[in-house]
Amino acid sequence: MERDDSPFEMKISSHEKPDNVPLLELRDIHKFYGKVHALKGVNFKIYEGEIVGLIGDNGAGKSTLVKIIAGVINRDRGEIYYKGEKINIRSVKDARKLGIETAFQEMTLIDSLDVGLNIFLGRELVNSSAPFILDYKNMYIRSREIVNKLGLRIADNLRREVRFLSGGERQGIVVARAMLFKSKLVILDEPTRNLSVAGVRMVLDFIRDLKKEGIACIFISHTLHQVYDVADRIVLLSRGEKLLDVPRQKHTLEELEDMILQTTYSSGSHV
Amino acid sequence: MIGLRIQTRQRLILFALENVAWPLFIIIYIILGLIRPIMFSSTYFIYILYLTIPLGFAIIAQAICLIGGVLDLSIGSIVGFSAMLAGLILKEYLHLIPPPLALLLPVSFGILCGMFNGFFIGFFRLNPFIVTLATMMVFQGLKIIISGGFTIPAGYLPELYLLPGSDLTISITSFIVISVVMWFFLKYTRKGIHIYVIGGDQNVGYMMGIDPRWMLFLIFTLSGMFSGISALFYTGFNRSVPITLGNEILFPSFAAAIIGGISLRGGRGSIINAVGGALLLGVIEAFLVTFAISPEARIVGYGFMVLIAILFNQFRESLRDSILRKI
Repeated sequence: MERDDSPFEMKISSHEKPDNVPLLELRDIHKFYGKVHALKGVNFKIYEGEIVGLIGDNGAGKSTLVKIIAGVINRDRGEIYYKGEKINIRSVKDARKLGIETAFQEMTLIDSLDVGLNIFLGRELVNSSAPFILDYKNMYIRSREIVNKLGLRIADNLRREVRFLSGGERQGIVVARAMLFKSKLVILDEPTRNLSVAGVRMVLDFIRDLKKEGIACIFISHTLHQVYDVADRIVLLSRGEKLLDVPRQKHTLEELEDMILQTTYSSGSHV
Repeated sequence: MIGLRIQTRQRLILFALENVAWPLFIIIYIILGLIRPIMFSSTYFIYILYLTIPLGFAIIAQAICLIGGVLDLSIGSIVGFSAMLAGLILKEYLHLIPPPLALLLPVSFGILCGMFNGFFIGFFRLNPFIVTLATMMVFQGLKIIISGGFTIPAGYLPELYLLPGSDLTISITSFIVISVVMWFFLKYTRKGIHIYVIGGDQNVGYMMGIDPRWMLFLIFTLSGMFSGISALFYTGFNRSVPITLGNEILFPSFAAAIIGGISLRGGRGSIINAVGGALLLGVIEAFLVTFAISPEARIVGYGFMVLIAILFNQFRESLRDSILRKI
């Protein structure tokens, strides 16, 4: 793997207009898990304020791709550009510095801690006058605001250990976290799992709000239908390869379904 | 929106379950005192506190590890080794070391031993059980080798060095202050909460930007530090460094932390309750001393104590969960 010492080492797109420079671009990304070639040279880009629906079967490489963007795992080969500048994302902290906020598919919650602490996990608020002391009061106030905004009925239970919450409520906390810390790019890995119809609508509204605020979003799902409602562009991964990358508005849902069927069959993937 | 409110009665039961070590300490103290009235005398109570405080620091060390989801088998050996090493240095080079600095010697050796554990567990991702099992033997053996088989008698150690462990007021005050500071650290600072996070799930911690390697290193360094503090207080308590120092610490450190409600599953528990567990253990120990019990029988007793503590904690946790699930 490449090791660049400076995060911004070369300007490659200075001649391009700022509007045409993607917020984030990945080129020829490879990832191996032992002998398994999980990503086989994937190119991916996303512009500011753009919503990309990333779809594919289980094991297609969706989660691997976003974990590379989120700094959880390192790529084995390939380049990453942020606003046209070549960078490395080596840790979750690096990604956060770039304004990338991820709601992982794995429920990233600590069962024995309460709702408030789980929302602020790893980014706990501290007292402004004594910066080594946690500011619980503020954390609970802001947690209450955000769970109410999401329509979760847990505002009175912010001190409850999250293991006693339902699957939908737990998923809601993960989305609430993304909502609270959103800045440039929000990645939502299967955010609607376990959610009720109302919960799914909240998430879709949240994604539309992101667009209004100019925040980019990668929305991952294994079904086309949900993604189709909100995405500007649809990207299909299958067995570690990108098979499709199309603007949504040019195609109907049926056309897209046909394309997905054709491409996955011709590549020999299971559907 | 009206949420689910916890009823007062249930809240009380939950509070009692979470802090059960303290009421249990008082109840058992009264029961044992009725059997052996000598235990109610003030000198005996002081003896109980005396007995508990050096061990109490080792219990805090174990409690930090258990909250972090790991265990430290080497605590007793670190106590013995750092007490012996510090004692020998003071014996040989007493004139070179300013007395206040001497107090820091066993603590620094404890920290170094803990860092040694934390280095292998954190950065090489080795199993904490195996690493501390190995270092338990290493430090235990080193203690005996450097001692040459002899106890360090009191005359060789400066009075100031013995003071914390031998003066009751200093002993109790420092134990209370250090316990409260540690409780505060764990509940009200970022690093402290991250110990709970790592104890809950290392992977989740990693994905949320908390590095498990450094956190494990910190946990074992703290454990070593408290073992070193324990060594200082044991030395003062004994007014010497016996070669057997630290041999009977490991089991009670587990038992007290577990009675104090610190789960073996990691990520839960409070230092203050571990201190309650320590006092409870101190009372039982002091009670047993009033009978002429052989050391072998005491070992059997410790074994059963750990077993009972785990059973008791499991029962307590499932009861607490069943109440919390309903509300």
